[in-house]
Amino acid sequence: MIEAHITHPELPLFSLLDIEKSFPIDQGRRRLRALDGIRLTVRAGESLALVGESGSGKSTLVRVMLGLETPSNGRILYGAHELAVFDIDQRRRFAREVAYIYQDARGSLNPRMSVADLLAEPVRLHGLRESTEIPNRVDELLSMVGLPRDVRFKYPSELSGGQVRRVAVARALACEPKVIVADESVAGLDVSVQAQLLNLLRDLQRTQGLAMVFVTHDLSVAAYLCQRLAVMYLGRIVEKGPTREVLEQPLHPYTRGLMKAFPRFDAPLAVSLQGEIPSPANLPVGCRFRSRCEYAQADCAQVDPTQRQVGDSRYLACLHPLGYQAVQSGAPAGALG
Amino acid sequence: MKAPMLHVKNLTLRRKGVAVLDDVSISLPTGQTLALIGESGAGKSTLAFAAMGLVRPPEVELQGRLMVGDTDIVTAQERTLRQLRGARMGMIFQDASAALNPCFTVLEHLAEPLRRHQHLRKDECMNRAVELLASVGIADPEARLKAYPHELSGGMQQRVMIAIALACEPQLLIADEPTSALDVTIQAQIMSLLLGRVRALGASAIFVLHDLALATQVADRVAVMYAGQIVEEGPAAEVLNHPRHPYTRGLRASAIEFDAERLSPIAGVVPSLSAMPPGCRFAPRCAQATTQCSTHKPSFAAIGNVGVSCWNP
Amino acid sequence: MTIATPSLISESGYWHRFQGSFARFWRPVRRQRKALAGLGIVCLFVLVAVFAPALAPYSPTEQNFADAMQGPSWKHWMGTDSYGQDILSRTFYGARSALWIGFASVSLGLLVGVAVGLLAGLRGGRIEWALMRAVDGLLAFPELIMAMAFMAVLGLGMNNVILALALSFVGPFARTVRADVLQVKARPFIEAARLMDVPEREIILRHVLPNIASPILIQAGMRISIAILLASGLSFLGLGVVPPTPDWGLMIAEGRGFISMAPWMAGMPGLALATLLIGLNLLAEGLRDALDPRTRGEHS
Repeated sequence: MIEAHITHPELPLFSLLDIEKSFPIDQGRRRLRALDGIRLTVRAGESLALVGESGSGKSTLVRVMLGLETPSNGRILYGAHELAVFDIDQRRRFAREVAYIYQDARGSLNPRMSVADLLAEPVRLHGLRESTEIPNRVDELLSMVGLPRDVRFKYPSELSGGQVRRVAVARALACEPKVIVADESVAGLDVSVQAQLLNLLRDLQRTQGLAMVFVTHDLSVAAYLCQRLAVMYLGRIVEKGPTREVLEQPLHPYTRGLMKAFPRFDAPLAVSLQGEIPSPANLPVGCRFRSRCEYAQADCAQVDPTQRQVGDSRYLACLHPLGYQAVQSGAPAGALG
Repeated sequence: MKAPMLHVKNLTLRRKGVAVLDDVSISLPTGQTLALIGESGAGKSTLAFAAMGLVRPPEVELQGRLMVGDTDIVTAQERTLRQLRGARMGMIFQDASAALNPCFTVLEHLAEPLRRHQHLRKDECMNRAVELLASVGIADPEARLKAYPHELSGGMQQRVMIAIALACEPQLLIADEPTSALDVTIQAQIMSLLLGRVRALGASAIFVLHDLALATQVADRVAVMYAGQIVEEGPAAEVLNHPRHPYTRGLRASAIEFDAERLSPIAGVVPSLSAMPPGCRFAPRCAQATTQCSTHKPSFAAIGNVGVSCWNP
Repeated sequence: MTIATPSLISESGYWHRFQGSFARFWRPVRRQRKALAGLGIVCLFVLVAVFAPALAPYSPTEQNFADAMQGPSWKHWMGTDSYGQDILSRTFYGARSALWIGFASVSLGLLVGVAVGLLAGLRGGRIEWALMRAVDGLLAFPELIMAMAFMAVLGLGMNNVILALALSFVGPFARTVRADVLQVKARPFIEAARLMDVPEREIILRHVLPNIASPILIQAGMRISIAILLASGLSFLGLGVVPPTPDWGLMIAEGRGFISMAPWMAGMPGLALATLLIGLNLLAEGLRDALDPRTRGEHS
């Protein structure tokens, strides 16, 4: 694994190697495998969407990446250092370079702090400005996210849902991060507010050159925001690659099913996948998707496919991918994606 | 020609003096589906609840006519409404886990409307319940009858709710965001099921939705609501693919699609219902507003088979 | 109370923010009739207590056997007791004793209780276990009985009453504070602060404390009326303040034997006590309702 790093011209920001995460349930008698064999990298300036439905493990993955949960197995590296053994300075540097926007934006803001204080906190913490400069920085951040200056002294309870999310984005930007990790930041918003926020995120990503990891269940949001896409199902990344490519030619039946299920203006209602998502506590033997896959074959019940490289920068975990004639069996399972 | 299933004429609903629904008029022919779309606070859920007779004086003031079949909901007695609900009108709520009583089994939920409106005996109830669960695509229905809501997945709970709503084969089904809380692959299944059952019964349906694309897929007609008013209504494909009202156009332009180049959100925010501008309510945010728009409330004009409330559609 | 976290920004807006902060607090309170009524009553008693020397027509301990056991008259508005002391004056001075004991005992109990609760909630583990078992022990006894026991050990007098009551309040406060701390600890913004690498000390002071302050203070307010009632009870039983200190409990005890002959002896201080308690309760409940985020109609 280490060799792969040295040959890369620039170290990726995040490298996840064979991450597994399971939780004890049923008073410790069984284990819930939330993440299974995750291999992922995030490079500087790159935007990655983690797409999945409930039980896919996308939120757990993000929490593991941020160090909020320790993986049961596998390694996470930020730059060249392992997250698990960070010292105080590395921890501080990590907190500054990686900003997280919670799904519950309102809950992630201290209700007893004004907007100005909320935005000033990270600036002060990392010593990014002189104390006299801080009010200016606050104004700067507010205008970056399109909020009027007079919300400075308001409290989160006085702001609307859309405004609160913007404050959360502004706070994430306050420490001048290299990566922004956002969890379902536009779910549940009115169409117009959602559009504003999406435009904001996209513009920020482009103008500031930020890397972004965006967790969403909505493929169209992923398409709008991110260059790369990783589709997750029951704790595994089943398909990964450039967003455009993956959506135009999905190779994994789940990806295709997911795409078909999204309501479109130009297509009738299509039921693409039958059945329910199995519980992560009761994973099917063999390929975990086979219970819902219309192309499942005999070997799908025996072998659990792992991630393989199929093409330039596409990765797939499927024994019988859709319509791809020459599946390149070149790169071994150890290749990083 | 049969009377329309739903006929609303100049309905105004006031809550504490604020007009939550303002002079709303719409008609739904029998056997057709209508989607109410709009953003939060537009009044679509209020209209849906009002049609069920769930929003009534003294909490609110109702003016105008709201006919379901040949019953005027505005003036009807509570007794009459109770007989209607469940028997001729069914409702499906957004959050199935909140709408189902955690103390009752699936069977008890289903038995309630069956006993009440159809006066079935215990064994008849049981059989009918099994039938209903099977019709909504639940495998092994006999076993499921004994389950409590929390033992079921979100999709299953929603199916049970559909079964309850359709138990007495109502003529009007109202669904308030029936799939918003579900995963998208389950959403497709549930919507397809719902539509199938509604069509099989020859019933009419009103869907409250916020997803425009979904509206085109499931509804025959669509009514776009803004700040308590209907601004545009007509055949779904027509209205949503060739919008005429600036608000509908704005919604369409900000709705995210797979190959969207750039989203164009609508400028401004919805004004508070208690501080509505005179004239057209959308005027402050409208790029093509004229002086007439700010002073005079636009009348509903028909353009082809679409009704638009705008001076300059 | 909307205890705002101390501002990081010292700008000219500071005074404006303080005013804004106060206005945020005052507006909902103003709308609540219950709170205002309670506030009015309590203010009245506080004024009476503070200005008792000026307001009282007689010294509370001035004895005049000639006028003993007189009913209300022009000379003595509330009558006199068996020593000829003016009951009105003693009632006024009694307000001092009641309010002081109430305030001091609750403050002391609050201080210790919050410290214990914070320690238990934030530390967890064995410290939490040990502290909470100790608190359970304290809570096992009814407050009055425990206060009586303390008085028996410590001896009589106002300061000991304050001490005894404070001790019996530590338990309830500690338990509530711990529960609130645990609740706040679980909220996303605490985790968000940790993620931002905010130092632990700052998390406690800026993030945890301001968010538990509001319910705790309202509870403390409610407890003042309990304290006053308990104090009066102790004095009534002869285990509290010593005569001739003017104290409502003592006065009621003295008047108890003469209820049929001279009802004003126990009646007046009893009325005063009841009124103050009602005022305090109205105020505390009104504040709680006014400041509850749900009833304020804010985004929750």
